[in-house]
Amino acid sequence: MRKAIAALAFVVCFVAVSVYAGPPANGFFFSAAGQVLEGRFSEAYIGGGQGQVGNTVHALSWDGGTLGTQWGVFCPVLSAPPELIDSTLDANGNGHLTWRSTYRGGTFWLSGTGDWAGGDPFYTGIVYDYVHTTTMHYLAGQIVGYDTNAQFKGLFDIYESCIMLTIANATLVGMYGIPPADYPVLKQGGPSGPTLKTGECDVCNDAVDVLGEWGDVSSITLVINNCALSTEQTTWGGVKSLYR
Amino acid sequence: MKMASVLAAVVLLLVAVLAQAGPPTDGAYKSITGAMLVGRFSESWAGGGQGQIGNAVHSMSWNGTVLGTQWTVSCPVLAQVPALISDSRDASGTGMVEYMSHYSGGVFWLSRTGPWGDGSQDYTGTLDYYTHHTTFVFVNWIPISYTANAEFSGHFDGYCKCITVTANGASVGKGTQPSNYPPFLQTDCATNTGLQGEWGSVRDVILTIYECASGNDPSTWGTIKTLYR
Repeated sequence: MRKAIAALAFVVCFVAVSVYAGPPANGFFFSAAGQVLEGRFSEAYIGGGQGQVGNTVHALSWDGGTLGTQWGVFCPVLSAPPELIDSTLDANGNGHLTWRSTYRGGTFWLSGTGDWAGGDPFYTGIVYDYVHTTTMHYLAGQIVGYDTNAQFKGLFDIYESCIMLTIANATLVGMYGIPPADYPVLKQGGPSGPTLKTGECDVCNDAVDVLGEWGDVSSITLVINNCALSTEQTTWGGVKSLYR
Repeated sequence: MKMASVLAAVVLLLVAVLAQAGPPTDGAYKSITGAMLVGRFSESWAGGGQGQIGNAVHSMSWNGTVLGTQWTVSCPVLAQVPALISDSRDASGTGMVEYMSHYSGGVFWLSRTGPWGDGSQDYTGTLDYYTHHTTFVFVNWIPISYTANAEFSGHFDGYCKCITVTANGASVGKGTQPSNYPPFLQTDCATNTGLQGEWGSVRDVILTIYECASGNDPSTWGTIKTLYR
């Protein structure tokens, strides 16, 4: 009987280890150093147009040929009207407007083969504190482009207390259209607005009959912190000790 | 006598026109389309440290080998304590902090060979507004890196033309002057590579050139004539 229990424990443990082999490694990872791929993003105009509540972000790594081989961010939803924090527009509509936009919800996916590899084939988690600070550039009242600081935090699934902090630059490539095939598809997250709770993204489907904008993501810093074996995980030594 | 005066005026006008041949061409120019070069920046810690009043920015185009072949921005100086926009650090000092930093002064230079030029002359001008929106990531109260939106507006010397620029910046390093990055500048704009400072990349540059709004218009020929009627 004791042998059978030990064998069962071994199987259970093996299965657990094969699924959750270990948390990602703590550290700082930079795209400028080649440790993180740069990426591409789309933002669907779920709210009806640029900067509208309900708009949904989708960002994926880009290796020059394929999207999403290393990381992905799915469905942060613009939760409040963007706040204007700076303006230099002149009487002819030339200059800048800088907006700060807060999003809620969303999830992330991180390959297990990066420099942060800890044994799992991939890592997932929820996104929180997602913010864009965007400087829109106008010529004669028309937007000719924008540059953005994007930031968010992530809480890893399975590995309690393990967090990710990310900052990046982004820039507009196209808007009020359907992104080309080599940009992330437009997504619809939800529910939007104040009912959406941090980390909640119970809907993240491809958006239908919606336009959006798209662009490039660069200068990424990814910080992984506080990662250790989850208290829910047990080592083989731990399992054996239960049956001694 | 009257004929001679008119002739002299015509000659003067002709000389003036020749001296100002080829104003910069209005339009929008972007690095992501290849229309203009990306760049590199330095910010000296002439004020005594990161984010201190008196720090001076120096940015130059970068073609992969040589600095400053197409554009430069010299010596906007941090004019006031950066405004804190948000701070999401936890009790252990880990999180993000956003600042908005206003600079004053500074000049720009654009090569005659850029897409805005006709090859006749380089262009210079003065900055009227220069700001950074910067997001830092901290771990245990230590800043790890930052990204920034840099933006400025200015006007050209000798033409009724204005310029607006937006760009993404990101930190690369800090300490003593590195090679292949713009030289550190003192608060008085003199080069001083003995200073400490920080440096980084400039990408996603958007530059527009356009007629200045009427408040900035230099006098027209018609206006000048009315002065002497």
